[in-house]
Amino acid sequence: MKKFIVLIFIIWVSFGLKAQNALPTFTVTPSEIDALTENVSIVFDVTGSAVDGLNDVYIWAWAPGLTPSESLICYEGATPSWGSISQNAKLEPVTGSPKKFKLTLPKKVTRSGVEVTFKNVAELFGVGDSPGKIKSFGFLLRSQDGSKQTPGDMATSVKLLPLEFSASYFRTFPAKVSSRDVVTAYLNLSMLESGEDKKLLVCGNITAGISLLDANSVKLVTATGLPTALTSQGEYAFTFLPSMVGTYPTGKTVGDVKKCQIVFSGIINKQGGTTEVVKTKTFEFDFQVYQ
Amino acid sequence: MKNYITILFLTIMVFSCQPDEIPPIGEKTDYRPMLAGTWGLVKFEQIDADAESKSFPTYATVKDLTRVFTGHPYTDFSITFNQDGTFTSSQGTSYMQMLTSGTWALNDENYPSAIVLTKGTEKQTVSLGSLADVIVGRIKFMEVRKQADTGKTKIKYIYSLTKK
Repeated sequence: MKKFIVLIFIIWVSFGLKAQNALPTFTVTPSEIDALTENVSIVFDVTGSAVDGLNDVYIWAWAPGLTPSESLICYEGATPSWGSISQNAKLEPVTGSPKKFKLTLPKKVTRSGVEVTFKNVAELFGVGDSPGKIKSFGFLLRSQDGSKQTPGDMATSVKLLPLEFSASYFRTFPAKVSSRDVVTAYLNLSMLESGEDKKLLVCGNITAGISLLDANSVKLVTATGLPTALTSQGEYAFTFLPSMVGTYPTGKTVGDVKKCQIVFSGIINKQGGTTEVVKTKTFEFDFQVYQ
Repeated sequence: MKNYITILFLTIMVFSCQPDEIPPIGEKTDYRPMLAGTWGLVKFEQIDADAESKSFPTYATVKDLTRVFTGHPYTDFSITFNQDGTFTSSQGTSYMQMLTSGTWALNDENYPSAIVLTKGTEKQTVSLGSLADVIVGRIKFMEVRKQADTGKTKIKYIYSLTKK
């Protein structure tokens, strides 16, 4: 009996710790922004996170590829310091919602004794003159002294719409689509990502497999072996209409589709007449809701 | 005497100047008879409005979908606007989604920007991309997808049709 109580206690403590480790949820308005979008609002819900219960919540934000990578609101002077976060990083409370905090742009602050207004994300990270340098930013929420913090390592991040076109391993056209749209998926093997099987570079007969998922990530429709076409840009492309990918389960329609997963595969002909199938990783994207 | 004649001549000249009456510009264009007839789709394009606004390369901005689905060309689609206000459309093997029959009307007789197709309680509004070339048998329909919270156009579809 004693062991049983100890076990229950351990499970209870474990769940308690896990609950306090939850990622904060957040809503960006407008839902799609680029580095130059003005009038942006990000509302954070800290319920169940490590900073749940704090009256003062600070944001520590960074953009991969920038030096320094931290947002200018996080520090004074030229060098970021985790131990002395700027008061400018303190989030505004949301009236009537004690577990919600917000960051709004434009944001007027006094930084290193000078009044500054950050109009957009690019300016927030000090790249207002070269906004194309920032493609996304990660953040964590923390207490002022840093003793409490939500997970880092881009566990929570905001992806920005690109300002300049750059070739990528995988892309869709249009870049953001709804489930009612014609979608073209592109694979650019000249941009093969590390971690992918280099055999893909010598594959032939590149085909695509597609799965359409609902909001609970349940696969509604799957199709494989879809032929691709090599474009003049050297990308393998295949085009589909979500409503035509396959037969939907009874009671489900394309309106239930929220996500798409795509895997490309190719064939290598080996000596002795055998073949080997090589696959890419699974690319996933969410469908937008358009009027 | 000579001066008197000169003054008289100038007076006549001045008083004979009358503002010209502006002639009528022309009859208002009645697009209905021009639209009547059978129109066949010749090109179907998809445009990423974000990419277009940022001047991305053409291959990342526009995609020609006319024959993108093997065995299901959009050129199979045709629509007939009858003089009596009825219409029929045929998608053929294409994946075009449009009402197949019913009545049609312009959203504005003087300055039309869309054709409204009606079949019973179903209504479909087809935006007119351009009416400039309707007289020479060319027309463009347009369909847009907008972001719900900002109303910003995200995707455009342009259907180019010619009169058969």
